[in-house]
Amino acid sequence: MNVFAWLVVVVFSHALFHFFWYLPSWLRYLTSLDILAIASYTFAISLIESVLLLLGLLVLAALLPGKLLRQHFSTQGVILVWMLSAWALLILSAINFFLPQIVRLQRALPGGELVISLVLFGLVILSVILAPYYLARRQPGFAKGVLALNERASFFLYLYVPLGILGLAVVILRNL
Amino acid sequence: MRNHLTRRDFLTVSGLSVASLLGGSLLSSTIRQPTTAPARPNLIIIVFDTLSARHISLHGYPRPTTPNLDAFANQAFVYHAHHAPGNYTIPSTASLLTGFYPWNHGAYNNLPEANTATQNIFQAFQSHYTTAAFIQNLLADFILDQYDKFLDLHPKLDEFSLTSSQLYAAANRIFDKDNLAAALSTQNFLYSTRDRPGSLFFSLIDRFSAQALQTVYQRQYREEYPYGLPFSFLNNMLFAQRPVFDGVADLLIGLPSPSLAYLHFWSPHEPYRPHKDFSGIFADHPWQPLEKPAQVLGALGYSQARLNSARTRYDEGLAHIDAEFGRLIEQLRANGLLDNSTIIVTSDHGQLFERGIEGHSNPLLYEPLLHVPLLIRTPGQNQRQDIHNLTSSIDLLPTLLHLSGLPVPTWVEGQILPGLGGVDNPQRAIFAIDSKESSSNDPLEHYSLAIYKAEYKLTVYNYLHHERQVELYNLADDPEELNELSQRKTNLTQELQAELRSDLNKARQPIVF
Repeated sequence: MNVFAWLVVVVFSHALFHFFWYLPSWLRYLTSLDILAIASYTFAISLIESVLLLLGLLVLAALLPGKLLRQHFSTQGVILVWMLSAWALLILSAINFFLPQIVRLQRALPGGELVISLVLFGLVILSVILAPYYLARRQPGFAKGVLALNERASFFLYLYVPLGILGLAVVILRNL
Repeated sequence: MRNHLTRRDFLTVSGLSVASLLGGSLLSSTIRQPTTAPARPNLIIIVFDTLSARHISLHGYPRPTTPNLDAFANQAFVYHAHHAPGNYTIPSTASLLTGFYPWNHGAYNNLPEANTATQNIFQAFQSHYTTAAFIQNLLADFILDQYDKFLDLHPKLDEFSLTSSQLYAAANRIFDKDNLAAALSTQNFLYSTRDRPGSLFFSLIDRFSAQALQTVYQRQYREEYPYGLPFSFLNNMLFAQRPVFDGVADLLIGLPSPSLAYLHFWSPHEPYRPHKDFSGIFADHPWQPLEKPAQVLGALGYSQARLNSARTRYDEGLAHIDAEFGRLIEQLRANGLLDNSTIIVTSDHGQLFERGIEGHSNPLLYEPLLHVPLLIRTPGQNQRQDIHNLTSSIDLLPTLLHLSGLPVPTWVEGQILPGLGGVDNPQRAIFAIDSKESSSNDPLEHYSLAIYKAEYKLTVYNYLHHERQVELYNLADDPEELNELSQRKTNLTQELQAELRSDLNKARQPIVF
């Protein structure tokens, strides 16, 4: 449940953040009903995405040796969700923001400096991603902290999952 | 689209009948037979996306880009002053399909939703024709989705492609009854490939799987397509030209008579990726385009060298499409379709390679963007007829109804084309608009508008943070639009603005002008 809660938090929050990022432009040319339809599809598909990702993690836990994921699924599974989310956010940011910047930097900086900057940047990102997994295995206090955060994350289940179910119902009705 | 049965046809039909008895035939289940006798000609509308008349040798372009189109023109009506009512796919395709100007069908912004659900070409022909449409452009396909109930056959846009966005393709199939909302939510938002996607994980999986498949296909076709395979960035669709044109030919040959078929090809839209046989063919061509003053609206600040290079690749892509068009026509000829079909070749809008700007995602209404080809070959026609009157894409619907002996509905804004039953009216005015960022529910405030009358063209650009621009050109004397006349011909400028205002006041949604 903790792992699902975090998946829901990450997937829905990301979708909602971008929904509101697009909203001012949609208000220029879409009707309220059009925007509500997009919201319904967004919630429905986010719910499906969360469920499918949970299934993927459960399959992974079943396949991997127990001590890697299955035995402490509620902490290590959550950390895996964080890591995957951080990785996905970084890749998306790289595609949407950093790559165009790199192309500009490439024009501005001499080749060697750019390569060194990129390698350093990559090492920082890698350590940020791997640190929580290491800490959870070595520091009991950190694992406790993760569990405490899990409790707070479960609150979002009561908010996002009903929205997802509502969205799913609207989508089904629209496609009958 | 056949009227007579040969021995081969008989064997094919017999085979299909047995197959349909055993497993149910796709054709018999999806294609409704028209209720009337097949005395009317088939209608085949071929639209090449982003094909500017200013790049066609037929209309005087110095590079020999379109020998097959030129040959086709020798047996067709050639409209020399045909114009799209918009500078990009959504408004102009909706106008072509509805016979309305964009401010009346409402699809002039980024929402491809025309408010003419029951007023369109497929509805007008449905009772008398089998209706079919195949579109490769996602935005145009959104429009078509609204007319699905009037279509007997509507293959998906990636039907003849190598690969496309798997999630969008799945959504398109799953949410078949709510395509537009589903597409706006998935392809335009959750799995957007052009901007920030709303889906964190699935959008990445979609991108990576598309990228992996594209890499495989690009490698496979590297020899044939040195610049890469033709590609639609709207839905990550990768395709080779030959299978697409062959698929379309098979589709046409399989339709019963009479049929109305609307075929909208993605090419020569960017990215320009010609086949190896056409890559580099204009690299050493001595002609160089005119250098024109930069335009601040939509300015990209591209150098003339960059524009020239892009133009050359576009021309090479166009030459490739022209060769495929030639093959398509030969296939139709071999199957007897040229004898009982009216074939229309046109485009939704053009492309700009001047004034520091490349493309059509801009607010400009210069001739390379609006001047599009229109060639119409009636069954068995063997003489060329040149028509120089001003015509618009909205004229196609009434003309085709007239050619088919069907009544033209009163709601149609277009006129029957001169030469094909329409009157020769030298005082006729036609219009064009760009207002991508405006709501179709409120009066327009920021827009580009153009009116053509006789040899004159007046354009008004009205945008935030830009001084209002009015440009007047005499297209007969100055086809390159270099000599701006509004200060010298103030009376004419005011007259044309008044006429523009008068027509816009009749619009469903008023325009602040």
